Amino acid sequence: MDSPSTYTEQELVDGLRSRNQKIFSYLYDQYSATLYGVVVKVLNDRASAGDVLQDVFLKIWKNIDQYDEERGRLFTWMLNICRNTAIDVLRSKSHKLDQKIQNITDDVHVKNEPLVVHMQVDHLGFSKMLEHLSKDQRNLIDLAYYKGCTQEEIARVLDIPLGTVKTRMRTALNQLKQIVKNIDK
Amino acid sequence: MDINHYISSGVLESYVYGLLPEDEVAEVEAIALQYPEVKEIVEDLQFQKEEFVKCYAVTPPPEIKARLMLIIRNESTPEGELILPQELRLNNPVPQSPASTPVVKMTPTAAKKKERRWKFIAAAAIIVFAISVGVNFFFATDTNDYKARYEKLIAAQKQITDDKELESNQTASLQESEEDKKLIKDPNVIWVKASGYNTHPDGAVTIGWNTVSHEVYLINWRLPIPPEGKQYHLRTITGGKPADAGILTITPASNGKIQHLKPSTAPQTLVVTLEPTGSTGAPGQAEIYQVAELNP
Repeated sequence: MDSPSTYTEQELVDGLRSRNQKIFSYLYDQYSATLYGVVVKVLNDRASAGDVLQDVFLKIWKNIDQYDEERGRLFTWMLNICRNTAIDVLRSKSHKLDQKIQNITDDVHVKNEPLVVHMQVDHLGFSKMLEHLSKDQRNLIDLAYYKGCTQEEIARVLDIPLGTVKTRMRTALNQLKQIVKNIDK
Repeated sequence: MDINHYISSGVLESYVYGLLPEDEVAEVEAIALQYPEVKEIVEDLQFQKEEFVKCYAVTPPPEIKARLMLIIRNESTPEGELILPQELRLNNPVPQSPASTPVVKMTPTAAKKKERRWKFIAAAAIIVFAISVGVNFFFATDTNDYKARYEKLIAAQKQITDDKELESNQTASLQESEEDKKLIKDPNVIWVKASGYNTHPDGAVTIGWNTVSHEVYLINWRLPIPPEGKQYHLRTITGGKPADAGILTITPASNGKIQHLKPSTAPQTLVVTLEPTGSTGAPGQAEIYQVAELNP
């Protein structure tokens, strides 16, 4: 079989829309690790992460007609589905805000584990650069992105003014932007 | 709208990192469609975020893909539809579908429960199987027992039938041969018990000779049934000359009955021989079984 080893974005979208199982298989191989990483980080629970990842890919497969190229790339759409699904599960588990924070502090402060669970080789440099983010900055991004906390919630939890949260968040994201730019060069 | 101010407000970062409430999300998306420079920044931020999340990539367990491909391959079937999450199913629900059919769960508790359930089912199956084997064995033994008893009964019945037959035969033959009865007491008939010969030491027959009618009689008691291709002959020897006195009928039914053989005028010695079937002449190949001397 002379199947291309890579597909263009458009080929992927067209393939999914025409119910091409080979394309779906390719898509899974390409993106499952990243999406699984998101789910694991959101839930802190590898066992239930598998179920959530399965749901995420089924949603991608079933709802591909809802994908709108105008609003962003395919992976951005997939990542949104993934994060939203995982955070829905996290909330459905009735995790209280305190518990979310407990998890975060466990992750970052108490255990002082490295943030990178599994590094893909080509992101090794980027991961090192991430260390340029302060723990507070990483904590902010984790709370916001992976735990789905609003800035108000973060302010309440960290007991800092909302304005400060916003400022710190912007600084963190700008820092991140610089890191990504350096990687691209 | 001061688009530069909008860009520098940080709302785009908040949008990309999912920090905005839904109504503000819609607003950012509308503006991004309207202003290419906003769209470009949003795409940059999204790319940057994606690079960020890739740092946390974890290879999922391989069975997830296998399961997904299975679901997708069967998605057009009712079974495939049932294993989809509720919200992804088609609007026309399959009639026989149960109220809740969750996707196969992998959570440790669910897995453990499932495992426990399977263990329980397996244990139950083994117990049922063991009982079944036991019951089968019991009944098989019992059946064998009944079979043996049945065969015994059949054998017993056959024995009774045979005995009856023998009895009736004997009765019949006795009735038929009142004459034979008289022969036993007939003073003109000489009855001699034959002796065994050589390797056949036991006397097995009684031979009679009618001094008046010259008839020869034989009563078999325990000559063995002749093997295939052989028969018993009675031969008379008179003055050293053998003569054929006829072929004996040796069957279980004939035992104890008087057989009428060929008459002989003055037999001195009577010999029972076993010879190949069809031989009538001199007993060249004959094997002597019984010998009886007549002393009239």
